[in-house]
Amino acid sequence: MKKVLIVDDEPEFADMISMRLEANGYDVITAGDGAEGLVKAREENPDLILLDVMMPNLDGFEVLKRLRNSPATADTRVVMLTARGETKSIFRGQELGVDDYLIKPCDSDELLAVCQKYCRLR
Amino acid sequence: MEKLSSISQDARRQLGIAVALITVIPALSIFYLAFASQGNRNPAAPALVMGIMSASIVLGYFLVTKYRDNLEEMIEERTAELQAINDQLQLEVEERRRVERLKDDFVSTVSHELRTPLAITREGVSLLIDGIPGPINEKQAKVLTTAKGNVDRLTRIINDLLDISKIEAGRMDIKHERIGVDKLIEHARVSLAPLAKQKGLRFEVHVPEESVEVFADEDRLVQVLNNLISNAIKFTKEGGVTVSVSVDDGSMRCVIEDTGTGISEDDMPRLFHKFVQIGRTHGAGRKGTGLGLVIAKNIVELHGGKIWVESELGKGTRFAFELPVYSEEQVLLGKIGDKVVNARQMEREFSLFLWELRYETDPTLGEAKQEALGRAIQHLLQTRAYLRSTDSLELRGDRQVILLAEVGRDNAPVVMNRWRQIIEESLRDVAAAIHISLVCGMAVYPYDGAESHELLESAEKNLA
Repeated sequence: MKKVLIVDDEPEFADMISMRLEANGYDVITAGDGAEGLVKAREENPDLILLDVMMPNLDGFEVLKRLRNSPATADTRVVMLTARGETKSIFRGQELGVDDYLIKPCDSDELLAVCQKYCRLR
Repeated sequence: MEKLSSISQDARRQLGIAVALITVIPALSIFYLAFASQGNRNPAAPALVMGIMSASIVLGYFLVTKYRDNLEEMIEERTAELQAINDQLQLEVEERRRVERLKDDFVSTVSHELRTPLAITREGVSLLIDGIPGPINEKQAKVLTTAKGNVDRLTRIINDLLDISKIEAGRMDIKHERIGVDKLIEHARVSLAPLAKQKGLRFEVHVPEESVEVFADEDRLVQVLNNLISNAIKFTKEGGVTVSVSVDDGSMRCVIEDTGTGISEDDMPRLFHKFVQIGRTHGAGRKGTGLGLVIAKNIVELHGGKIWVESELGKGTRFAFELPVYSEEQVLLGKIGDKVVNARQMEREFSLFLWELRYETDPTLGEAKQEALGRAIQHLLQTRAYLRSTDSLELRGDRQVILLAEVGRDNAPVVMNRWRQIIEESLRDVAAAIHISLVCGMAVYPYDGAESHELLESAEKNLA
């Protein structure tokens, strides 16, 4: 079973997405902030990380940078959750090595398609 | 602020007097003592003259030091003034940067704060409709579908408002790619044909047989098409909507024509403005924000195109927009444009270097030499010496090489010279035979231009 880690500071959003993913056969873990996200990424070794951009303290980019700098998580697939047309996010994300983007609010079909794609690639 | 020379007129006079006191009077005194005193029996005279001479020298010396002090004081004042001006400018630049950053933060924060509850609600309703927390009955499905539709409507409104605020802050960015117009229209057709069908309207698309390509932002152009086509459908009761594409002289024209209510002459000037909603919509159709056309106009114009409308009340409407057809020049402008966007977002400078090879194509020269030139240029484009991964080299026509490098104004001349050497080296063998001369032009973002065509024109202007 494929494992997905959701790193988002909105627990309700993480709950909704979890419900959707679990109903489609994924094993889901959540983290409420960047620091917890890094810990769980190392411990749980997920197939895919859904990473929110806007978080207090350690934002999505910081988390991504640290993930890429650590050999254990350098190759983990990361999809960032961002708002539409935030080109700054896209440039920074690309420079830091993100795999793809999802735009909130996201279509459930799109979410599932992205998860399927990146979990399979592992 | 007066110039040093004018202030010091007084000081100059002082200096003049001082010089006279130190030189002329002692000279006269010595002269007198040496010659004039010969026949003079007065013993007090030489002493008096010596006294005058000493006094004069001392006074002169005193005046000179005063002049020097005066000058030093003026220099200090001037320096302090310049320092103050510099500090002021520094503050202004920082303030401007802060405001720009606030604008960006505002857009992204508001964007995030609004989208988060929307995303949660939408997914929640969607989960219920899909029966994931448990099965639902028909009535519940109906209620939830209405709710979902309105969450989507809220999302559209927020997207429009954010687009408008981005446009007004000069922050709407276009990501260019090579795209076929038929693909764009197909996107729009897939979303909107059902709506037309629902109203019993026909929906026709006419595209030329040969695929027409543009260099544009796919999402944004689809946004424009969706807006124009959905308007056409909204305001048409019977008949239909026709979308046609044609090419004329390097321009792609797309016309959306409907057989609807038309627009009155009075309403025409108000059309491409914010929050303007004209006329009644007939039957099915999404309620608008009055921002769609303004956003469409801005998107088209940011692509270097234009948009207009022809209509007569009761006789239907034609909206049309034109964009430059895909060409290498478009691609080049697009690449420079992307660099501009990146630089602005990251608050960096970058430089555009333009080298032009000037040579006579001599028919007697032979193909071999021309080929050698071509190869030399290709080799140059492949040489990544001294380039960072984010720099790029482009060919423009067969005589111009453009380098986009992440260097600022201070380092630009150094890079230009270094690359001039590389180019001359690369062409050395061919140059002698074909008499090539090399001219260069340079433009730095944001000083020499804030848009891609401005930078290119600036570099062309200072080709030397």
